[in-house]
Amino acid sequence: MQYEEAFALIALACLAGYGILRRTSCKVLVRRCRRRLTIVTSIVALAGLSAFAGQAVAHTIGSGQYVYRTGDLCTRSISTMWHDNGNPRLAVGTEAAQGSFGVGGFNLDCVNAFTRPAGYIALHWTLFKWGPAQNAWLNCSSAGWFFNGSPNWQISRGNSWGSKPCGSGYYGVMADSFVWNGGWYGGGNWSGYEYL
Amino acid sequence: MRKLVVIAVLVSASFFAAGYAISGPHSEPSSEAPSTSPGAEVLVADEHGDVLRCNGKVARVKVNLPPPAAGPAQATKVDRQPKPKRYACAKDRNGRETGELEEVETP
Repeated sequence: MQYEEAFALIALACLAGYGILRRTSCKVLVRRCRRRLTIVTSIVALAGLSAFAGQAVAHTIGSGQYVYRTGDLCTRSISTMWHDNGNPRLAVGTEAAQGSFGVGGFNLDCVNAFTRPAGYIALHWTLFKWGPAQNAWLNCSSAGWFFNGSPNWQISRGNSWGSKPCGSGYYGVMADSFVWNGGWYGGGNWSGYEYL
Repeated sequence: MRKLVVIAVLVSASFFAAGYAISGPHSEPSSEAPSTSPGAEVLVADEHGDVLRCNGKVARVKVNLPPPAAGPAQATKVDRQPKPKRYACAKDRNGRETGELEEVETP
């Protein structure tokens, strides 16, 4: 459910509730208020504003998950997207971890940050847009690969657009996160999608 | 007072309907996510969101590939500030599409 729908439904529920309860205590309260019209008008205006403002509310979607996981190495990928006045913004990241910790038969892995030398952690993003006519996700924009330039256990990147880069529609971000361990280990992580 | 409540509900409902209409026709994606298979091919969008065609042929690119750098030594030599790019149809000196794809930087 979109924000504007939720706001409008809440506003409608409030008004309906007021209508039901108005014969009881609410009636007394409202009677005391000489500006009943102002109150109701304010509620309506708030509901209306919410319905329209919902278009501009920053609605963040995202995912953080391990795209590679062994005792030696864990590659975690973060992929988030939100919007600013309907224009997409994204933040993605790659984290390296390792190690495990066992307590009472339970074993947790990827418990320690794993600092890697320069060039060992890689990150790439692709902004996808849904193509209704093709019934498929279309590659809208992407950036080249980004690597850690100094020893670190994580890297992150972000980008924002001043307009919708591929017109209105459903957008989502795929983050590709890899860590070098004699080969590149990792994979893609999808943010989910939202209508912009 | 009842009239006032009815009017308020109607006005609110109209705002709701208008807000929904402004947000456009939402035809939900039938596919939850693009393929995460290494080397999977996806279609390319043009600046209007339509599928990109070069010389009439639908453009496709591979995704989810590991970094092209053969290892960390090469990785440290790549551009430290990669800029956003989009795919476009490559053109020859006469402005005719070659059928190939090229990456162009976007602001």
